[in-house]
Amino acid sequence: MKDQSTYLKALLNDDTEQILHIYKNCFPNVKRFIVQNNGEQADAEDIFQKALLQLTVRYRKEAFDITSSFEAYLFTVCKNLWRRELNKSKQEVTIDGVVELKNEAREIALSSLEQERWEFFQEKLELISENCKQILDRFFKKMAYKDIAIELEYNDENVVRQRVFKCKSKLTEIIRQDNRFNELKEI
Amino acid sequence: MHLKAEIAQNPDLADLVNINKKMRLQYGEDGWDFIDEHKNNDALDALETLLKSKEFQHKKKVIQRAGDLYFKNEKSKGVSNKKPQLYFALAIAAALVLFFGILFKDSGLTSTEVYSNNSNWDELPSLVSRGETNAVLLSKGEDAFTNKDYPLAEARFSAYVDTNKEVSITALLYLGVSQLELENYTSALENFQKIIDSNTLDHSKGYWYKALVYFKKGDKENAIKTLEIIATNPEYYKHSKAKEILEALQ
Repeated sequence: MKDQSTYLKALLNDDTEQILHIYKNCFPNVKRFIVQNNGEQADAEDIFQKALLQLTVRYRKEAFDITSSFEAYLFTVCKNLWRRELNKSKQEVTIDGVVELKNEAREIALSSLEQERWEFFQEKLELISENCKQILDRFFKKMAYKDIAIELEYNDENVVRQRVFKCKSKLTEIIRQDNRFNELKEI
Repeated sequence: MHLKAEIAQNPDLADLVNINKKMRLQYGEDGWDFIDEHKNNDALDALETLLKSKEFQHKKKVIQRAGDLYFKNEKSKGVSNKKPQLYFALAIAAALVLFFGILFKDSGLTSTEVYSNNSNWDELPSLVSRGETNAVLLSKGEDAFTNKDYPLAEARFSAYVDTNKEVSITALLYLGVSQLELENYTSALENFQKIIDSNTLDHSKGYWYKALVYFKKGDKENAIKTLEIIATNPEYYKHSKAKEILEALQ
């Protein structure tokens, strides 16, 4: 496996050959995911290109480290971009009342900051106990309390309710303690 | 209304409500936490300006070009996979003939076995740059070859061979093997023949690789003929190996 920054540097240095490798190594999985989630080949191609531009602009702004493999990281960025795309129509109607056409540069800039914010929240989730993570993961995925109780072997749903409350409080406290949250909440 | 008023007066509570709302969006699976782009946001403006710059327009083109190359390759692979049914039928028939041929006529090795046992490209000489004019093409060709990107490797070695007046046995070997991997047998045989005709010390390598082409093609007759040439010349490349294979094939 290549060093995680190899591909990021390749994007920054306009290295066509390495970028071609990124396509070879990563595009098939992204395409599979998008096609399985109401998209088509053309959507996958568009999302993939936007993801590469997003990574390039973020790395150009400030070099960052990837803790997983580059392939896994790019896949997550693409997944989030697709999730964003699927929710975009709702967002446009809710906020503006009319669909507003944005230029591509602004779209990528917006998605870059949103991705950074998403990563901030994921990073905070990693700081709570494994047990809390398991409970909150199910809670945020809207699993019913009684089902969480069965799956994680709690006596009843009241115990789960109390654990959710405690874990959420802990997570909230961790998020609020980070100065970056004050910047992020403004946007 | 009551809660809204309380939130307005209590920044701490507002913070908690805000975090809770964000957590649902960030950790949930349904929505997406969009940035309110109508608020002043210097970071957003800076990124947008950078993305609109000439530098990034160029980067976008480079990414697009790589994508085009990739999709073009994928498309051609797709086309070659969609052969008409007749070809499938012929392929099956050929496979059956080969299968029964092997079953009844051969107690020894099959062409495929010989090929897979001997197609060890680690044995190819290294292409360490020796200050040639087109050394970059060679080293980039070797990179593509190592990554098993044979179309790219073929393009690079072919460009190198075409632009160099002197015959480079090593470049021809890499070119021929790339073509062999791409099942472009005619070109592979032509390039290995150039090695044989080269009048160099390494010319006999051409016979060995030609034999491998024939084995991969399933052309056992020509493969044996080529191995026999190697077997009758003790100084030729892979002389002992050729004799060994010929014995095993009998």
